[in-house]
Amino acid sequence: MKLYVLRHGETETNILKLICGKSECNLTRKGMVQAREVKQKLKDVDFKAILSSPLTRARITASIVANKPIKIDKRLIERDYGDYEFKKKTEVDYNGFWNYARKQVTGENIKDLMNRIDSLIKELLDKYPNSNVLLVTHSGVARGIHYYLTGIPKDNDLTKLAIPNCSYRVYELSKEDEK
Amino acid sequence: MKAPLKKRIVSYLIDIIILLVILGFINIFYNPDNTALNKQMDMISLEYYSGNTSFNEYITDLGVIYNQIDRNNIIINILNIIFIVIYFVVFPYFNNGQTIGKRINHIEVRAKSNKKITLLKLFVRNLIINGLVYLLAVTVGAFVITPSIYFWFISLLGIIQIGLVFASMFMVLYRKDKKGLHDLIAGTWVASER
Repeated sequence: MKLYVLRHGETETNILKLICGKSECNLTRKGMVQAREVKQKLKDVDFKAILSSPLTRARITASIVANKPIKIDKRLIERDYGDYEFKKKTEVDYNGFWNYARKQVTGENIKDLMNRIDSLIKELLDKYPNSNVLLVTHSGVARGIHYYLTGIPKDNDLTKLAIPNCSYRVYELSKEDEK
Repeated sequence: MKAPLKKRIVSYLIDIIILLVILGFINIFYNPDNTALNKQMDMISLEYYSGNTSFNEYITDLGVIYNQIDRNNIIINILNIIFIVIYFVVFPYFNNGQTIGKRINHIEVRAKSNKKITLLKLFVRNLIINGLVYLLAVTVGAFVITPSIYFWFISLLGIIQIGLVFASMFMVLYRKDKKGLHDLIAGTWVASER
């Protein structure tokens, strides 16, 4: 399976540099333009399935990019940032929040995030072993998927991976790689 | 004897008001949250009217948002369909082809041969005049139509549904036998109470 993991386009909270987890925040015009650019880039890819987070910013991004009906999957919803919601990264212990070894003080535990990613990826591998699949999600989940597939770094710090708006990564997976 | 035109119109209006009240109550008790989608719609409209996006982009983005709204509204749409079917199909089937509006006006729907009206005939009739074509197609279409062409899909559906209603209305008004498109297709006619 070829797994494309796409982050949604720019939102109002991205401009303000605020953390936006499970709350709704809308795409900006630039965010919608970014989605159209991705559509162009991916126009020749035949996706067997396109799955999106239930949050509006991801659904709209997915719908613009999609050349077929999208499916909503709750497992792609952004990580719950708890008390950090709508705060600036500099105001909170962001690195601690994304440290795999640290005990979570607020929001969704990384291990719980990894568990929902694990369940989703295994299901996709079963359903679409030889096809292209597009997931449209958020930076937190895209980060989770990346480290789920490539392994947790030795220093447990998951913040090093930059995931700009509407950027995507492609992963080749096979059932033999299944954890 | 054919039902007088005035009675048909009054009974149709009574039925529509009753149905709107029922559907209004459903909307009060079950109201999906489309706030974020509506805000996104305001944003794209503002961008379009400020001249920042082309008409094509605007239409495509509108369709994308309508698609998500219709998906959110799946339960309310299904409830609407159920209540329309109960009120306009099931209720008259067990009440000599009469809805409440028709009962008040002493008129009834009959099969062409004067036989008892069937559920299928009542259903086909209401597909045309009570928005069921649109509602059924949107309920399914929201999940099977590509979002980027969704605007054209619902526009076409809307035109078809309104066209069917207007065609039926004009036929009832101007045909000698007072049969609308819905009567001709379903094989029904509206008579005064026996």
